[in-house]
Amino acid sequence: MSEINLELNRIAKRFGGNQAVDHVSFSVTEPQLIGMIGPNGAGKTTLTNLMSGMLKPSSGTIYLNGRRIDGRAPYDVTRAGLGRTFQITRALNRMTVMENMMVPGLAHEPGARQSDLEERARQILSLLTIDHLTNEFSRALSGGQRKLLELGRLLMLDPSVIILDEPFAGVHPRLQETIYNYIHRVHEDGKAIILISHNMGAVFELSQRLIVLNFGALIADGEPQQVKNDPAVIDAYLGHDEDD
Amino acid sequence: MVIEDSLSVWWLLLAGPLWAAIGLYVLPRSQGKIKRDERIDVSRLQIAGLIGGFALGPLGLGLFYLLPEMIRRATLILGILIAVFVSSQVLVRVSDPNVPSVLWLVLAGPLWAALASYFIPRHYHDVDADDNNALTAAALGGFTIGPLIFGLMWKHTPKISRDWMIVLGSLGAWQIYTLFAIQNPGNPCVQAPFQVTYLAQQTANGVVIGCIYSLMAVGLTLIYSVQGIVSFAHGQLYMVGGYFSFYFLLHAGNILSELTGNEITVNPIWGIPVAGFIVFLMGAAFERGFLKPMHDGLIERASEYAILITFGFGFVIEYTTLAIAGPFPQRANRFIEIRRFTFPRTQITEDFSFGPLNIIGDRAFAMIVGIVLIFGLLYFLQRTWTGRGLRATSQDKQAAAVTGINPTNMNTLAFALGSMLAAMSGAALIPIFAWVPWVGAEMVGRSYVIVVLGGLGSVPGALFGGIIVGIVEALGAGCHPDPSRGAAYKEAFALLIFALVLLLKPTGLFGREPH
Amino acid sequence: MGLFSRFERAIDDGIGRRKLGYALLALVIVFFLWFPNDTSQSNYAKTVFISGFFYAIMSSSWALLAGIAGQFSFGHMAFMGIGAYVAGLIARDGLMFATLGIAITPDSISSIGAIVIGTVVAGLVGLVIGWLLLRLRAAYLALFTIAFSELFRIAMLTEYDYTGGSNGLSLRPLLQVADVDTARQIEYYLMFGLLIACLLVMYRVVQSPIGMFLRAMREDEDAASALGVNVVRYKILVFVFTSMIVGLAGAIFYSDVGSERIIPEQLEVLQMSLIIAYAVIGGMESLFGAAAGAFISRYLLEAMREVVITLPFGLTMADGSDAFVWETGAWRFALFGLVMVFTLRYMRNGLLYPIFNWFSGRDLIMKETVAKRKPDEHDMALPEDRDE
Repeated sequence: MSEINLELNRIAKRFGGNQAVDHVSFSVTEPQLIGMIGPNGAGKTTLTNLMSGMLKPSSGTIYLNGRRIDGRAPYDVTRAGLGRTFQITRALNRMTVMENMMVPGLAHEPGARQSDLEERARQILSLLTIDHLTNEFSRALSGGQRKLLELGRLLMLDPSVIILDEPFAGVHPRLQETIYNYIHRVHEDGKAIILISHNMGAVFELSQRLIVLNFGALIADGEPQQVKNDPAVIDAYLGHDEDD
Repeated sequence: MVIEDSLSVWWLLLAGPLWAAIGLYVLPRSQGKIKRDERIDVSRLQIAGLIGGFALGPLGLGLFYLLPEMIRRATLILGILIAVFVSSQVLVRVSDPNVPSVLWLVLAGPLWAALASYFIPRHYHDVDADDNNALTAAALGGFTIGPLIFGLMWKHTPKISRDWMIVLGSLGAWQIYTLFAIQNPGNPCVQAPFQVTYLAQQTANGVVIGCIYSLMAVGLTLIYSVQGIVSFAHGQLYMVGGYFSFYFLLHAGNILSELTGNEITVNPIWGIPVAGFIVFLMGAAFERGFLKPMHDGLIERASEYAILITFGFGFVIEYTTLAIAGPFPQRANRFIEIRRFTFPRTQITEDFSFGPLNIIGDRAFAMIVGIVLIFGLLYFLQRTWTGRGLRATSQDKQAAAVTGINPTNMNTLAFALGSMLAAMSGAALIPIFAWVPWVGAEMVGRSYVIVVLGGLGSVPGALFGGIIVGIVEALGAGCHPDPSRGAAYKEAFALLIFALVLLLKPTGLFGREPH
Repeated sequence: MGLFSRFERAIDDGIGRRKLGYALLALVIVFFLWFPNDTSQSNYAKTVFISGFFYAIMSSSWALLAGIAGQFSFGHMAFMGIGAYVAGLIARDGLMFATLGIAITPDSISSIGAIVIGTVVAGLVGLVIGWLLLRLRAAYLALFTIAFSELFRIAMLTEYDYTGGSNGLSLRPLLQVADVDTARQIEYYLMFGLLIACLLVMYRVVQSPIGMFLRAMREDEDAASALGVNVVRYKILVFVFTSMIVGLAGAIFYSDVGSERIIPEQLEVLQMSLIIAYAVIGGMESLFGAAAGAFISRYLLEAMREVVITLPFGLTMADGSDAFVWETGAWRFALFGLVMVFTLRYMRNGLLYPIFNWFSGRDLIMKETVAKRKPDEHDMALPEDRDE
């Protein structure tokens, strides 16, 4: 089990006059399952992009396991131990499933033996029930299978913190179970997971801690039950659908 | 090996790279024992090692090792010092002794631009200031007013940033003008203090031709705004438009005379709509056959396919034209009999006279064609249902489709219209320029410059961009100290602007800001 | 069962595709090695082959840059020109930075030294351009490289005091062989060797993990970066690498090996479009496809300068000759462009790549996996979000 210490310190991002993320601070120090919720446009995806290096924060710092990662290129952040998925799945279309797995594998451990990596990739694929597609081009996969592939690729990086951006969006209920299993399994491996989803049911069921964003600011951070009754959170969601 | 003098400052400089290399290696590795909170970015340490080692040798490295918190400010100061030193050394060696050295220091523009665009955005990031436009402003400012830009922008980018950039841009132009003047005092652009006729003449020429540039660029930008692709066949469509007009005018009169038995002469103006119509159909057919599958999602890596397929389309047009028309320069008959319009000389004060200005008749006519067509297009886009549909599609495809606009037809229409505008520009210019099958390459290069300068997808951007590029080219070519080079570098001036805009502000002057 | 599949089955059961492929490849190489010894061939034919090899290098390195790494550069010819011009200028004028203590005089440098300097400079410029291009993608990248290429061409054309302007610049001849026939033969082997060497080096890179990273970058730069691929490094690397290859090829080719002098016309966008067309026709995602495409297209274009069709049955043309002669002129290029456009539209992988693929047996593996594929239990409930 690797060390986990993610620390956001007054992270802010401005687009022109629009404050997309407003000085957010929180830290993750144990292998928790953390749900991140908020109404549309609350800044969840922007915050994810800031953490993963896709965007540079306007101010503030992020440390991961003692390394400063804000403003670093995404590949640097990934190497520091933070992996992410994308809201819209981004498989490497014209590469086979195995190659999709080998890219992060080789990027993460350049010296590793190819056969060892392939073996590990096979194990992960069978965990995700897509091992029969190993030699298939990933463009031939269905949307749900691509989502699984994306989750699988993350494990090749052996990250200590994983951000899952809408893992259940547009996925068949039966596949959702596979993703549930995946999340539990990864969590048991001692990794911290930040789960972003509109699916409130799943978030409340899975997470041990909830972070709520609204208008770019962090308005609540704590146990799910306690957050659920927080007046600020209720206020933020007033007028928004909460039915699922 | 040639050794000029035993202990020159250059030897110290040569030692610089060595120390810089040592610094690059040593400094980032010196942070092991420092507490985490005070730890500094590796990349920043690398830069500090490079600059510190280069400027101060072991002294600089020692300083940064002991006082890491000084790194940011100190690298900035040292960077500026190095820049001043190097630029003055270089300039002293290359410059004319007659030229005032202060001017040279300012004209070390690129260097200051690089420095400012490196340091100012980073400084903004540190103090949590809005860094929107900071890069562009810093680069432009560094180029024009040199070190002063640091003072001006240190707190924040001044509010009126767009106007401000225009001011700086003009200042830059003035500097280049001064440079031309100093290089060649006999230059017609700078001769007598109040002789502005030549300049005015050049500017007028620029505006006139700029209207046609605009027309062509509007076509390109229209295609981009609706389809999201850059047409690399635009230059060839322009070229072929000219040829269609030429052949139409060559044969139409005879054929009509034979058919009717009467002597009929066809007015050269008819060449323009005919060329436009044919190319409209060509563009529509090409779009249906080769671009529509892309929008239907049948083709992978669509953006690259779009580049290649339009490029191939242009290739085919160019060589087919070459095979038919041959490589000989052609020129159509003039549109109007008036050779030139002359604006009379105006005496404003005793010293200040202005004119006469001459504008060649056909050029003036081409300008009028350009203006009429642009207004026609604007009317179409703003006032008709189909035109609004086009604009809606360019804003948001899905939303437009929901309101009953057929995006497939809009795509075809945009490409065909854009191609038509290129062809009409060609047909308007064939009486002015000698026409060869590769005439499109130069023109399309210019159109790219214009659309990128104005912002890809922005119609007003293309209009202003066209006129700006027309003026820049006319002045650049007319005022360059070495006239023969000036003419040859005509394109280069625009391309240089283009490269800079692409690097500094890819959205151009009027483009939508990405979010 | 069609004729082709029967034929396919016969080969699979017999010698096997791979072995057949290697055998054919060996035959091709033997042919190229033997060709200059064929005394019935004119020197002109050898010249055509030499320029074919040169364009094969250009196209295959462009395939690496654009097809495999996804960097749609139109500046390839300019990098070639940089290699050639720098080599020529160094060999003619030398290089003097007296104050820096560097002095290369024309006497002190050999033609090989000049070529090496040309290659290195092309690589350095590739480094700078690659770095500048980090922020640009797709059409913007294409536009920027066109601008760069045109600026370079205009500068070469205008600064005629140094570069000879439109007359071009003569490089120092690499070989000094008096006998024309022998000279042609050596030049032939030199260029062929260079092609093979370049292909092998590039193939090595493509097959290594770097090749995989480059393809990942092409598919989705952000995703590749998020997977830990150092996109900055590989993007610059691929620019430097291909620039050096074409710089080297240009410097050698114009050192009187394939051509006497480099002229700015060679750097026009139109010339660049030929390189691209060769690669597209051969298969722009395959080094060997692009190389073969360039060579074959080059040869056909040369052979089609004049089409002569001998009329059968004793028929004669109006002027009494028994052959129909068509001076193709620019038509061959127009035709060639059409082939390119239709290849792009209907055979995205090029015309030759599928053949190579067939020999490699890769599509056999694909067929197997498709057959193995279970009825899909993972279908989506919601419509798929298509990647833009």
